[in-house]
Amino acid sequence: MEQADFLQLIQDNKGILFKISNSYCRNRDDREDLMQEMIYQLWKSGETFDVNYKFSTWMYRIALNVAISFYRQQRRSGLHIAFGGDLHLMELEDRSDGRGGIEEKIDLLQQFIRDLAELDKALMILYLEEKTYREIAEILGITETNVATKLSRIKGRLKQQFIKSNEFL
Amino acid sequence: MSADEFQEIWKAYDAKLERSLQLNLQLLKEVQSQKARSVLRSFIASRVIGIVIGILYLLLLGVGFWYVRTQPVMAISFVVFIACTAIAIGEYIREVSVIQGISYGDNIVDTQRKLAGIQSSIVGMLRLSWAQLPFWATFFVSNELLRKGGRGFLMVEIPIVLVLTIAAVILYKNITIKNAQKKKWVNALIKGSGIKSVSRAMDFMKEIEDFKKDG
Repeated sequence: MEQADFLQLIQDNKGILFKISNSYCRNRDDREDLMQEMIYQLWKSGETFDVNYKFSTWMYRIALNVAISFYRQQRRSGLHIAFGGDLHLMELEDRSDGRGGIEEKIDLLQQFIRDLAELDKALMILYLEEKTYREIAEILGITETNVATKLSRIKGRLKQQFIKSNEFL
Repeated sequence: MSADEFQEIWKAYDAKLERSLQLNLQLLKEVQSQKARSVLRSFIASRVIGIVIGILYLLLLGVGFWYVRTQPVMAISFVVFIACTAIAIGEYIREVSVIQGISYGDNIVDTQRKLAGIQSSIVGMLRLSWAQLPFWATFFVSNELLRKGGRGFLMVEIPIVLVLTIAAVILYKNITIKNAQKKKWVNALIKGSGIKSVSRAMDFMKEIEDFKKDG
């Protein structure tokens, strides 16, 4: 893969990578480290990409595998590249769109995802990314039936949490 | 609230990121060019250090064996130490080869199971170290000590070796990942060995198995 193609690829998928790192890491430094590791692994694995595979399947597998491994190592294994100054790989400007309550819902959803177990978190992210059960099963390595059962449970819990939080809002 | 509404919220999140997430392309190029130390590489480095130390220890044991080769009790003890160290080195070499074969592009359950399995494999090392227990009470028993110590020495030595042998058998049989989830004392022993990553890996192995189960 050429560097320009790779940069474009990351640019096109920056949102996904950010959402994954945000779901697995609470603080900014951790997120930055995870982003670096995901991008590095994607670049490194580029040579082994099998064109017979769907690109998104491959990317989600790498990003989520790195995120879970990183999360479990509790980070800081010496992989941080310090860029100097206050430079960051990704900057999220604080732009609230003011569309009544949606920000709160996004925060609540993020909070819920962060509290899930590592594999459930991956499952939920893939569901929210509107992957089909078949794709989710392929990425995770479980059966479609299992995907459906687990998703139904997680969504049930999520609904309960949203109802509860609405009672307090 | 319907399930699809969660996807709608996620889409709103996407739209927000699209508007406000800035990617620093210059830094991105730096990430590519710099060889970031990956988690796996640091793990391999720790194993390579373990292999080097193991080989040095093995050489030391080999020299020790050479000096005690004519003294049966000591020689047998050294052979056991040598065998256990060689097995441990072999296991480390196997782990390095497995980890080099791991691809993040494979499915998540299989990849994570392999990674957690490798981290848990230190449990096998722990078993091996306990299996050597009785020989720590015999490696110094020279022919001369046996001759001079006579019956009095044997009356102290034999019960100690017996107790240590029984303890070694019990520990060897019980220290397994499965038992760590069932028996509190095994769990405490493994976690008490100070290897936090092992207990996390063990918990994660259980999570993976539960996750893989249908229904």
